[in-house]
Amino acid sequence: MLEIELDIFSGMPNPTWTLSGAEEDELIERVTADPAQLSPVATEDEQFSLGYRGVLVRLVKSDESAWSKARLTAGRSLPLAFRVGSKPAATEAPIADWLLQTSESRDVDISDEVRAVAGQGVSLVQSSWAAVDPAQARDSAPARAGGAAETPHGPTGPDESGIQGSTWWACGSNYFSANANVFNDPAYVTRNNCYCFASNHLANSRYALPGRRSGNPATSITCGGVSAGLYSDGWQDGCQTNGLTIVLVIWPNVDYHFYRLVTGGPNWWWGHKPGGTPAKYTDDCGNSIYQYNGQGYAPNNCCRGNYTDFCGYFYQNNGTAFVA
Amino acid sequence: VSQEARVELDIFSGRPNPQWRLSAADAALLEQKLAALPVATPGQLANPLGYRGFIVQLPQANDKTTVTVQNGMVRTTRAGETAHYQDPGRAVERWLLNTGGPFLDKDLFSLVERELPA
Repeated sequence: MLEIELDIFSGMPNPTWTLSGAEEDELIERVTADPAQLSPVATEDEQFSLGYRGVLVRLVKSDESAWSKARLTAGRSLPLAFRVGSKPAATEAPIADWLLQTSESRDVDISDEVRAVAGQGVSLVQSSWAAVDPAQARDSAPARAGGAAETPHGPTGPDESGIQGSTWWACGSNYFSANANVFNDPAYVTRNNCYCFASNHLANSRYALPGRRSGNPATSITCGGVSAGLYSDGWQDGCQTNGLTIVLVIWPNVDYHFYRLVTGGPNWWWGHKPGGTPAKYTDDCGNSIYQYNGQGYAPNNCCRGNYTDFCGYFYQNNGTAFVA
Repeated sequence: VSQEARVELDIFSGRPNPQWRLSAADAALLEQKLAALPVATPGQLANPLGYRGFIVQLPQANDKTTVTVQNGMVRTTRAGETAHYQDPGRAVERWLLNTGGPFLDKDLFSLVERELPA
């Protein structure tokens, strides 16, 4: 059984109603045809003002309904709760508008004024990171929005034998997880930094520093100083079983930053988290950080602002990578 | 709830961002400046590497307001409610930078200053 909520009021309860079986079937058709219209119920990346914020859908009773059994084309289950209306629709019939229409045949108190406000849509600028999906294989290089002429490090790239730990694409036992969404949960996003994301550790340590966990915190913001902290925390120069692969870059003498390899070939996506802001898979020029056939982006050639020093690749078993 | 108004320069990824306390007079002045800002449509805050703006914690009664100032945009969040304003000429952003003058490293101050319109 699915409950629908028109998300529009601040102090008063939002109007809610439930869908009939036939309407649930139609919702499944619409969602599977254009799942890009869905977003999480609450996410740091979507900031709403007062007024219309879209329509929420929740499975309120687990039953034998079609929703519980349906699958998206990728084989994933349909979400148990989501928002529609804050992302653009590929068709001329946004799911949010259709859901709002289903209230008309019910005893739901939604005034014409409220419907008119909802009809104007949600004012929201979409982020670039939310638009990319590392789980999806791409057969072309990312569009260039700027950045270096250097080719990305990778299996088809030039010889990087001079770069520390540079054979990351040849590791046989990796732990990949494109889990920016986990770190971007409002409960975590401001409490975990780039090193937490790189280590895949929700430490709630806003200023995690390499080496602190193991009692030897980095003493200088240089490749050598921060690398020493990484080694102390258990990171190594070569492939590890169930391994995380990360890159250290440095804003010389000022700050450090990390990237984590989040998917395997053919595209090799990288993610990163600038301080207490959301983790993402794009760089400072808006490029998606992945490669195809030796073209595209990796931490060595993506836009990195002042973080000009590229210190190399580091590896650790996901099961032992912790920060403080 | 702390009764001190604090400013954070949001610029680092790994290291702690620089923070300093606003005097009571400056906190009151900031509240006046915020109250005079024109309302804006909600926008997405950017999160590049490097300078991203300022985050101010303003204590008010038994609550606090979080003010994020970035590239001509101001977002305030209090008790779960968010509002958006324009910052014409990035004047509030520049004013906040100047309050950090005595506390910020000279190079860092100059770096942020170069990001703001002359």
